[in-house]
Amino acid sequence: MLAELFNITFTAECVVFLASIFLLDKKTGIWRLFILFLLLTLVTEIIGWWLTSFAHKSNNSWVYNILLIISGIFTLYIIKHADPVVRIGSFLNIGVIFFAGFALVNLLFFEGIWIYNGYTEMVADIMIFIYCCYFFYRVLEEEVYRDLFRYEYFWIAIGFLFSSLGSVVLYIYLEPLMSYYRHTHINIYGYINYGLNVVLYGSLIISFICRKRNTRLLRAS
Amino acid sequence: MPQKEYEIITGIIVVVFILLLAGIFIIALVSFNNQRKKRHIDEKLTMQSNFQQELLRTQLEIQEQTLKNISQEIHDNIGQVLSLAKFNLGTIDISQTDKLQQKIDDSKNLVGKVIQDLRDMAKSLDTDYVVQMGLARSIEYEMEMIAKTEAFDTSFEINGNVYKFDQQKELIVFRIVQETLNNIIKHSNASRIKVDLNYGLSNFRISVNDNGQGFSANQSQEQERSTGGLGIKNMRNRASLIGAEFNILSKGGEGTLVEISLPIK
Repeated sequence: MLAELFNITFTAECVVFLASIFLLDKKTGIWRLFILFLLLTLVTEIIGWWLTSFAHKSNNSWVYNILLIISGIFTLYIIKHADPVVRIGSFLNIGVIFFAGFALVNLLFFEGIWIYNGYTEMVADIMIFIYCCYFFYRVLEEEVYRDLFRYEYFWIAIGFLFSSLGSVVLYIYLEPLMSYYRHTHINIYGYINYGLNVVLYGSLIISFICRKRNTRLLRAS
Repeated sequence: MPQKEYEIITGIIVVVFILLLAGIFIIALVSFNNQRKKRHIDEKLTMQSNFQQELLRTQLEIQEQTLKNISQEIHDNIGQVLSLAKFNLGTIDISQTDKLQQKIDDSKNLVGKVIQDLRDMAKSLDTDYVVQMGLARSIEYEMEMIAKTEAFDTSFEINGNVYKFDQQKELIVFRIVQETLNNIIKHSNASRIKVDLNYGLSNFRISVNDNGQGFSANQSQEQERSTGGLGIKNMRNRASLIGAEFNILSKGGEGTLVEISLPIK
């Protein structure tokens, strides 16, 4: 049963959670929220697994629906703190509030708590994609030079960009992928999803390392 | 498995692959541009550093030239006049009462002239004084000094409303004009010097014109070598340091025209 829990995604989440504990110290500021967020993600995964494996509930979507809202808000909130986009921070805040409002309305009045909130995920992915693209645009436009491969927000944006793009595609083609799985038992959806998660969590670990390094350098100077 | 489903799955994989490529393309584009930005910033820094070096070199040259000018002035003018005063005082014969007063008066006049020359020299060398008086007044003052010698017929004209621009720029323009006037006095055999200042809205232009013997480029280089003067090349360098255009027009026997044009932002 534990094997069901410890799939590639959960293992990657555990690794990132441990990395966040070791790398994100007090000096890294709001980035410490990642520890809380990743802990919440792990707890959600465990509750979801427990509900299906031990409590024998056929539906564990409500747990993931709550995580989905928190995850969307948190991701947008973190991106809006990147230096290149910080000047339109208040405008980006409106985006975060819009998403939170949409997600809650969808949860309470449309898809409901017992069905996985696919629309919320779509809106979150599209908004994250837009925020990341805007971030890259600003990086291109600004006159300041940054060593991008040592810039934490660059890695975060890469991770979220791939993850959001992939998730949108997966969501759009969810039905044929599931049908293919039922016929062939080849879990293409799972493979793509695992791949995206590895990219996302790999980027997160690199961004944590960069954040720690940059914070240390900033304090030293 | 139906053929249609197989095609859909292939399509999905292709779409995912294309999206991955698109993501990689975005990252590559951003990285490439960032590297270009770095090169651009590095080039800018190098240019700034070169500019600073050039500025420093020019300042040292100006300093060197100024010291030479002071030395020459002390030797040729002040030293000569003081020697004459000393000679006057040394030849005083107390028994010749009729000539005594005359010699004392001559000596007083000579010492007075030296004091006045020293004051004039101090004024034209003092940077603060030049900055305080402004460019137009400083050049006018230089022209007045030249007129006093009565060796030249001078003309000074200002067109437009006088305004001040960056102090450093005013000072550099002044030093170039000063050097030009020095060159005219020393080498041109001119009898007339004309200076025009044009204060335009977007451009400041100054022209120094003489009716002397003029020179060719080769002559100018030879003269620079022999006199150790700052030379046209360095005046041009100094002008380019402040973003000004420096032009010189000269023909043997037809005088010389020096023009400095500075865009005003």
